[in-house]
Amino acid sequence: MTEPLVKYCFAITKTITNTAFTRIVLCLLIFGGCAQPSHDTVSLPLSAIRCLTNVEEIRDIACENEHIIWSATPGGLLRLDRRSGQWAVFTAASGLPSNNISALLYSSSGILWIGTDRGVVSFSNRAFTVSGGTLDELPPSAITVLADGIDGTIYAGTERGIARFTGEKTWEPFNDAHEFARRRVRDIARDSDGSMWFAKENALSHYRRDGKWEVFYKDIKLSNEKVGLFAGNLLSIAVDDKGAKWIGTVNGLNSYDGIRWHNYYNRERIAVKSGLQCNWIETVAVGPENKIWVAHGDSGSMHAPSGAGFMTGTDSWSYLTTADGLPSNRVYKLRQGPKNTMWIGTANGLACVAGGTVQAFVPPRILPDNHVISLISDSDSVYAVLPHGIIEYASGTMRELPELNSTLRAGVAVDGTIYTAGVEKGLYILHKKNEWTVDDFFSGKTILYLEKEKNGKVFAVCRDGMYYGKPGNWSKVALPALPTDVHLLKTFRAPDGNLWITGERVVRDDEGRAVFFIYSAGKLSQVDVPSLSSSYARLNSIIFDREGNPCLVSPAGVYKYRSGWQELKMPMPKGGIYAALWDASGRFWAGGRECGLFMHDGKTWHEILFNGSPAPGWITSLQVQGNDTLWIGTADQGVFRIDLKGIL
Amino acid sequence: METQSGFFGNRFISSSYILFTLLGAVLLTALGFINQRIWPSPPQQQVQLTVLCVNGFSWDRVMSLHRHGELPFLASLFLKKGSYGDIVSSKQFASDDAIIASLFTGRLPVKHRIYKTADRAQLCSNKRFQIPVWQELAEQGETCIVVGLPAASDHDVIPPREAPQPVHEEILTKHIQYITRGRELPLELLHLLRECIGSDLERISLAVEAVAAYKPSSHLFACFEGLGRWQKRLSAGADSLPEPLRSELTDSYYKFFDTLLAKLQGRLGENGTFLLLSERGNLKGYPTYWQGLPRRREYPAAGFLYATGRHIREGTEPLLVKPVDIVPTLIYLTGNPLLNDMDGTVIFDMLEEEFYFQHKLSYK
Repeated sequence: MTEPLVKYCFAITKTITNTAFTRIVLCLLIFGGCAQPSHDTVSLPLSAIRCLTNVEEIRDIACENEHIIWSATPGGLLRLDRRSGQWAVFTAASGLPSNNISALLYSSSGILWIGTDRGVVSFSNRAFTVSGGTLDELPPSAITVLADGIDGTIYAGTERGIARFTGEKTWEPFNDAHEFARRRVRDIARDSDGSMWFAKENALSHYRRDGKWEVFYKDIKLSNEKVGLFAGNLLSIAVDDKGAKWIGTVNGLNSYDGIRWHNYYNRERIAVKSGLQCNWIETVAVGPENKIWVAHGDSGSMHAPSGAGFMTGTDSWSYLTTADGLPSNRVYKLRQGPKNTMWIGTANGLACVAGGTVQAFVPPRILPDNHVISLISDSDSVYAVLPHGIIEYASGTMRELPELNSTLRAGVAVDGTIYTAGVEKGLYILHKKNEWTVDDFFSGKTILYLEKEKNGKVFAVCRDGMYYGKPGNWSKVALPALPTDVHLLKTFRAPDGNLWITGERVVRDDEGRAVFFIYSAGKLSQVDVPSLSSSYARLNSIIFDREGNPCLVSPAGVYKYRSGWQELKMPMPKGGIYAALWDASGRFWAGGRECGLFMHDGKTWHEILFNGSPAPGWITSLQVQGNDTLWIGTADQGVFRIDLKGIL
Repeated sequence: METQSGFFGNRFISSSYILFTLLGAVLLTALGFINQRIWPSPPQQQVQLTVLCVNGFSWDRVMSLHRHGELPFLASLFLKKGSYGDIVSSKQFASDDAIIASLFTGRLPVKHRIYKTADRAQLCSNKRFQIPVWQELAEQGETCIVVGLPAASDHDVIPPREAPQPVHEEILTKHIQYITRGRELPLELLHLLRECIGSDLERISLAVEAVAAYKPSSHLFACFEGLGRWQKRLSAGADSLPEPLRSELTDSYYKFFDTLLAKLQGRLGENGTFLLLSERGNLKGYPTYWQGLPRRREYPAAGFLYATGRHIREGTEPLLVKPVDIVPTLIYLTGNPLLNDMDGTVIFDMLEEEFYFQHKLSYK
């Protein structure tokens, strides 16, 4: 019965696909649907880029010699000269493909290898070189760790397995044949016999000198009886002077001397002696006198940051903390340095332990945080709204505004006065006299969004409605009643005086669908939302072009409104667009999540490159000052200031 | 009429196909018999459970005393490979008795409907949702000794003697002296202390005697109320004693109780699985070690849990378990099928990882 039916279906399909018309339609659908507008590239010279980042969080350390110490931070690369105490900061504005530096290695041949979220870079002769030709030759470009072999081979741990660079032109994948081979590599250590150990998130791979692989992993059937790993999730590894392997896991520390395994873990409530203070062993290192050091980072635990621990006896641990001189108790990296020193990378800088004394080295504070919520502008100033503070940049100087004891969500600057709202209730105002005041009118009200008006007044969108005015003179906007399941989110004033209001219709507890309204002459009319943008209710925003046409900027795309939404063809992936604006010259700028920065000059699209590399990071906001300065705020790499004069 | 050939249209192909399939099946079956994969055979189920429920037993008290080396028996337990944590009860557990009933039936209070001490007798009423774990195990042919908890006399359930031997006065006095350190206490409080010590001493003697008298593989379920009553009375502050003294009197009882627990040391043999638990240790609000725990207000009661012995995992992080999860775990440990109508699940995080792969989880 089924056989004739199948045959019939095949026959119908064959007939349809054989017609020329259908073929054309299919081609159009396939290629037309996926096509993105072509674009050319404009590479900014390094002199046009200025970068403001936070470089206090030390993620890796490499010692060039006893005086020169390199540090990896999420905001850039640091070089410390101990003799002068001077720091040098290298960022994307210095030629790095990204500010996010995750791994460092100072090789025996005198080259500094830098692991970033965009591949490996080498630094020599004061220049950065993307190693091995192109970034694409590394399996995935996000580097987690770097190490060198006894023969000079450079090993890179990546998010998906290991790659090695033997001095040939390219990197090559270098993995065992085990099922865990291409898992995330957390750490690499060289054994005393020259073999290499790779701590992957679910297995420990040993590349022996005879070229064979040995894989240790927690076997659910326990068929691999010689493996005494306590936990499946590995984090770090070090090899001590006697050849014992120390493996940091999420459930404590394991040691393996080639025959026996020992487990050390925080026994918490049932502990008697001074044990490990946390079971999350973010990093393990062998220090001077073959002492084992551990640090717990800030992941996976409810424990308070505890500093750097070292073993003083069998499962007996002492900790160095801020009381001993560490810059912070949050420790991410431990690295043995020359001349019996131990270097400690913390959330607030470096520390060197030598001969029982701790010396702290705190990097310069450029930006308090790399997470930029938004960029706002006011006359000659640009402000970066960060989660816990605001930075002002005016007349070529940067200033950290007085600290505010709230986690910020929104802000506007009007005639030198800054209005901000946090996740807590209330409106905070910073007047020119530099003191934050709380506006009593909004006590008890949670402000979701702030929008400034040209007349110096401000719109504040709250859960219970929309308010308009200025300090001492606020009034509620008398909107017609909204459906009960709709919450207001943002409002935008169009050049024609209409108000565009965005909101969300609650579908489930934590999920909503976008709704748009136009408020004009006391009437509220609902506007359809492009289907793809409907699930981005909280990320959607409206901007207006020079003619006053509204444009919806949504991660799903940019849509212009002319009696209906029309999508703008963009050379950026859908789902990745987070910021867009029109500048005074009518150029359209757009940036997003790891998809670069683009500009449309009315005719063609241009990708704006940073010295040949795509703009780094996750762009959250864009701002222009005049015609020649572009500001880029990112979610993870701070702020970039681009001088466009003479370039575009 | 035209005959269509094809996979099923040709008789020859069809019959040879079936023949080939049959031959393959026979060959595979034969190969399976010849080349049998030797899987590790699960060890014999000889787990001997010792479950002690100590009302009011609190981590907050135990931790500080243990760190000062004042609970030697517990210290010896903690040195063994074991798992520990909290038995967390949500607001639906309206009373401590409801939690205790859930600890031993594996059902939520809405099912077992035991809310008061007076209702506890229903634990042996044979109603479907009130059947305790010892009754379940007895139905599987396992012998259980039950002390301090209601148990219907059955072939395989050994309930406590109806009239326990009274504790000698001189022993009582010695222990009272030990706990009070000769201090003058209100008469009513002393009377309560005498009752609490007497109750706990009686029950421990009953347990030790029963264990010695019956099969060594029998399971032991015991409940102790003395420590809980004493702690509750002192915490209430009804006797106008200063806080340091109340705290000292409570700690002394813990030390005394540690010596009682030591009498069950023999249960820590090769096949012994030892569980020490309580329904609530936080008489004065949330335990101090819960400070960073989110949603802690949803769980007003946190009981004590320490498990060690056969098949218990060496747990590095404290567990958060529900009262109803204890019974399914115990039944699974003994190799018996779980009841489908139980509200709890097996606490796999408390058991050795390989246990799951060696022991089939079955339901009835």
